[in-house]
Amino acid sequence: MLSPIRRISLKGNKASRLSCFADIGFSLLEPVVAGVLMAVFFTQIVSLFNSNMKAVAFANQIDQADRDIHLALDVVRETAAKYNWCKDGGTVELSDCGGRRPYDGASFYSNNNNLSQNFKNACEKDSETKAEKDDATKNLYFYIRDNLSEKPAVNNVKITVLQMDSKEIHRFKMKFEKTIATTYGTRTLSRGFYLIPPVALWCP
Amino acid sequence: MFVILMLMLTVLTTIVSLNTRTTAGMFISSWQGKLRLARDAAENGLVISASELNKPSNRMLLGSVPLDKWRTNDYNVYTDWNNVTVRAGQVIYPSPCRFLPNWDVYQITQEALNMSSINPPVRTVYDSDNGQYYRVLGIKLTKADRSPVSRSTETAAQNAVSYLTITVEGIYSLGTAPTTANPNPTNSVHYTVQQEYQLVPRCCRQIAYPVDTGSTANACAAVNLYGAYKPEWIARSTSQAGLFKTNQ
Repeated sequence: MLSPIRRISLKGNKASRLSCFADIGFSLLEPVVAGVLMAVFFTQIVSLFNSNMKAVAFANQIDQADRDIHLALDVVRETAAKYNWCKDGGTVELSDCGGRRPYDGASFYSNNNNLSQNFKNACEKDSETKAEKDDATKNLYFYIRDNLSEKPAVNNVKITVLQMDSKEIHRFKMKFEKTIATTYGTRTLSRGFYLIPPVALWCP
Repeated sequence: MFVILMLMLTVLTTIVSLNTRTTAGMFISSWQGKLRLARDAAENGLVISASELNKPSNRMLLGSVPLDKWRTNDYNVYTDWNNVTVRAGQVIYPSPCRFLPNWDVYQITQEALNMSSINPPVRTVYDSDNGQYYRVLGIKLTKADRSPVSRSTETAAQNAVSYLTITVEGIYSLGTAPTTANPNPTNSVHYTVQQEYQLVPRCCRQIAYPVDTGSTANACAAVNLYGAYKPEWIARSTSQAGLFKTNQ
């Protein structure tokens, strides 16, 4: 709270009055008030800037985790696209497909009679909605679990197959998780995705 | 006095502009995140919808029942030497084609039947958790030459590739949940994805698609199967995709 001060005129004028401000120029109090105000404003700016910078850094960290999850999703989709039955039991390796790529739909399974019958039998086995019990796609499930989940190839995103929610079409229900340390503590970002390996479209 | 006021005004303006700039940046970042969640919901919706039509229970619909007849409850499909009326819960998948012991995996689903409606459309909103929802806006069929398949009289070909286009809207809404009656609650973010699939016929319980080897015969005749063996249609691979977004 400002107190009025009594000013004495240096010009010899005896008249005086109560005032917070000088008639001409600055009073001694005004620079002090301005200084205090400036200090308060400056502190506010600095704290606002800091808190905003923290918030921006936090948003960037969350955004990066989200991008990591989408990278992991792309890697999983590409792996699923490569998964084939040119080798008994199913594999993500393309070497047994005779140089052809399963992407074109021509070689998701071997034309060898025994292998194609094994593939058909594997497809028709009741997996009871468990990915590890689905003979047609379980090797893809194991590959994702053992070779991709929490590995550098997917920026350490944790990939979990929750279940095979529709066994008749071999559809995986998956969860992607990334835990990050932020300025506001540890956060875990989760996303759910469905995946159907293209090879499943060649199942009966 | 004037100088102090000017100083205060300058400082205040600086604070406000700084705050606006950083808040806008955070808002945009948050908006992009929400849009990504809406897009994920739409893409998940596409996978779920295409696979719904690929379920054994619904595989024969696209090639046996014109789209406009899916929900009329009076269209019959001849199967297993019987006529079966197309409606949810009915089984038109012939017995020689079945490969799992469960009866429920062969029952036509309402989710599939709802996709065909355009007059009026039935756009059920499905919750996929995490504030993400999706709804199918529509499906359409075109022939191998991309000419339209009549919704009232025609079906997908039994001896050639057709194309199936599915349009799905993804919704992200953390506050009020969207519903079929009100799919656009305040502050919800929407993203629409349209994708075209190859619709390929094959004889039921077979792993090969005759059209892949150039066959132009009926899918079952091509593999010498007759009687209760019937063609089925699988929505396969992506031949075209389009993304466009809508904001609410």
